[in-house]
Amino acid sequence: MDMEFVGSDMTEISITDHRGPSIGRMGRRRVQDDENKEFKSKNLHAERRRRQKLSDRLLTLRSIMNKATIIEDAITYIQKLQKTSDVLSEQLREMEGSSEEEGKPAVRIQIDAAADMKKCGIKEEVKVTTIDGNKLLIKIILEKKKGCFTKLLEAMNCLGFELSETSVTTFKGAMLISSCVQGIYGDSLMVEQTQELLLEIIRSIRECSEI
Amino acid sequence: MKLYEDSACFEPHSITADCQSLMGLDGGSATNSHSTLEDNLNLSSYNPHQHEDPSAAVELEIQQHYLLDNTTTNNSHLIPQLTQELSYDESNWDADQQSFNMVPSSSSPEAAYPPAPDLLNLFHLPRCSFLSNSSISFETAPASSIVYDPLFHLNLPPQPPVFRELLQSLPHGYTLPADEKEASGVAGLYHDGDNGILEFTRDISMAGRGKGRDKAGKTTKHFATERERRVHLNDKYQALRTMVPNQTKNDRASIVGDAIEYIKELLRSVRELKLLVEKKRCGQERSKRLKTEDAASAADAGDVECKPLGDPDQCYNTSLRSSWLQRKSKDSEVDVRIIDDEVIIKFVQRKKINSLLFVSRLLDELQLDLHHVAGGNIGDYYSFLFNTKIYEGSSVYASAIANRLIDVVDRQYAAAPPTSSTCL
Repeated sequence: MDMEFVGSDMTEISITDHRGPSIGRMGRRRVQDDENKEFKSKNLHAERRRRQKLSDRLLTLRSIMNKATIIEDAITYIQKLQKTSDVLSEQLREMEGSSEEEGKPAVRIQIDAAADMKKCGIKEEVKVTTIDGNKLLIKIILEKKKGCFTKLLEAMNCLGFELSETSVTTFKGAMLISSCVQGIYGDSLMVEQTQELLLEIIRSIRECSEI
Repeated sequence: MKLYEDSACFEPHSITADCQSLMGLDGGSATNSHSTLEDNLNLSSYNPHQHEDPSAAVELEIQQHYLLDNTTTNNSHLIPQLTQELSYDESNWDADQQSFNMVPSSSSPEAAYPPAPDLLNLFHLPRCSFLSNSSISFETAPASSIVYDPLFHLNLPPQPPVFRELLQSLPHGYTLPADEKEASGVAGLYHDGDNGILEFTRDISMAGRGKGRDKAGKTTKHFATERERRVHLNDKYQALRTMVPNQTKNDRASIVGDAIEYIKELLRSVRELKLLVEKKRCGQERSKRLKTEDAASAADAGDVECKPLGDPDQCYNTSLRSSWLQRKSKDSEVDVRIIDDEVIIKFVQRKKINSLLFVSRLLDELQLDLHHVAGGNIGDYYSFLFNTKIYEGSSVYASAIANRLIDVVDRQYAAAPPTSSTCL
C-alpha cells in the first residue's frame, strides 16, 4: 500500500514561486524571502527527485525479477496474508466472549415487529392457488421473527413441499413469502388442505417464539 | 545461456510433437523429420558416455520419472509395469544400437546427478515442443498412458515408446509459438519427428550452441540444469495453485490469475478483520468506561453512550466496512458482499437438495437477519439472492460466512443420494 504513494506525496508540494531569485523582486526583504523559498524549492526538487529515483528503481527491480522469484514471492505473500487473516479472526473470536451487547437488540427487534404490524394493519395470512397442474402458488404473511423463515422451511420440508421460485420480503415487522411449491413426491396437492396446513404452521411458529 | 533463458520464457507450455502425433494431430510429419533425427542421433552418438549400460539408465530414468508423479501411491505398481515395458522395448532397440545409445548418452550425465534433479529433469523435458493448441493437464495419470502406445507397433527404433507415453502424461498448458521459434529456431526442424524427449531437448541445446558433438557434454549439463530449473518452476506453480481456494483450469495463466484474485481477496479480508477488531476493541473500551462511570454516577451513564469526538478513548473508526469474496466448488458457488452491516449473498447450486433450507439455517446461526430472498430454479440449478443484515454487536466477517456456507452446502450435497429426474 505504501508504494502507491511514493512519488505522490502531496504534503510537500508548495505553491511557492519556483523561479527563485532570478526574477526581480523588490527590496532586500524580498531577496531574503526568495532565498528561503529557493532553498525550499531546491529541497523540494531534491526530495521529489529522490522519490522518483526510488520508485523508478523499485519498478525496475520488479521488472527484472525472474519468474521463479515472482512465484515464490507470491507464495510467501499469500502465506503471510493467510496467517494475518487467521490471527485476526482468532483475535476477533477471543473478543467475542466479552461482548455483552447482543441480547438486547434482538429482543427489541422482535417486540417492535409485532407492534409495527398491528400499526399498519398487516395481518397474518395464507393464500394458496393452483398453477399448472401440480404446482401451487402460496402467499404467506407472518410476523417476522428471528428464524421464522427457517422454521417455515423446515415444516414445509417435512410435509414434502419443495419451494422453487421464491420471493421473500420484509416490511414493518411482517414477512411476505410468495413461492411456487411442488410436492417432492410428485403427488398433487389439494388447495384447501395446503392452506390449512400452512395456517397451522405459521400459528405454531408464532406461538413457539412467544414462549 | 541466453538460449535457455529464452526457453524458460515459453516453458509455459509445450507438449512435444510426440504427443501431438499420438493424439493424431500431426502424424504425417513424423516420417519427414525422421531422417533429420537420425542425423541428430548420429551426431550425438559421439558422446563419450554412450557406452554405459543403456537399458539400465533408461530404466532408471523412467522409474525416477514415475516416482516423481504426484500420486505417489501409484508408484509401486507403476514401476513393475515400466520395467515390463522396457524389457519389451529393448528387443526393438538392439537393431539400432547407435540410436539407442542416444538415449543413455543423454541420460548418463543425469544419472550422475542425484536422483531428485534427474526425475525432475526427465519430467519436464517435453516443455520445449511446439504445439500451439493442445494442453494436457497435470492430473493425467501416467498409469493410464503407460499401457497404450499407438506407435509402438511401428517399431521405430530410435525412440523408446515409453518416453512418448511419458510425454503424454506430462503437464502442460499452452505454448507461445512466437517465443519458441525465437528461442530454438534450429531445433524446430526436429520437432515433428517422433522424438524421444531426450533427443529433442538435446537438439535444442545443441542448436543453441550452434555446434554439435563437441559441446555435447557441456550442453547436456546445461540442459540438465535448465530442466531442473524448469521443473522447480513448475513445482512452484503447483505450490501456488494448492494455496488458492478456487481453482478451475490447470494452466499457468489461470494459476496466476487465480492467485491474483485470491491475494486481492485476502487483502480485503485482512482490511475487514482489522476494522472489526478495531471496532470491537472500541466497543469494549467504551463499555469498560461505561462501567466505571456507572459506578461513579448513575445519572451520567445514559449520556455516555454517544461520546463526542473529543474523548481520547474514542476510536476514530468511521470508515465503511466493505468486503467481497467468492467461493466456488464443483457444484456450488457462493458470493458474499458486505457493506457496513448489510450482507448480500448470492448462492448457486446444482439442483439436488433443498438448498434454501440449509442456507436459511446457516444464516440464523451466523446471526444474520433475513430481509429479502429471491430466486428459484434456473435450468439445472437453484439460484438465490439473500439480503441480510448483521445483528448489532455481531462481528461476523465475509470469509467466515462464505467458507461456512460453501462447506455446509457441499456436505449436504454430497450426503444426499443422487436423485432421479424430477418427478414434476
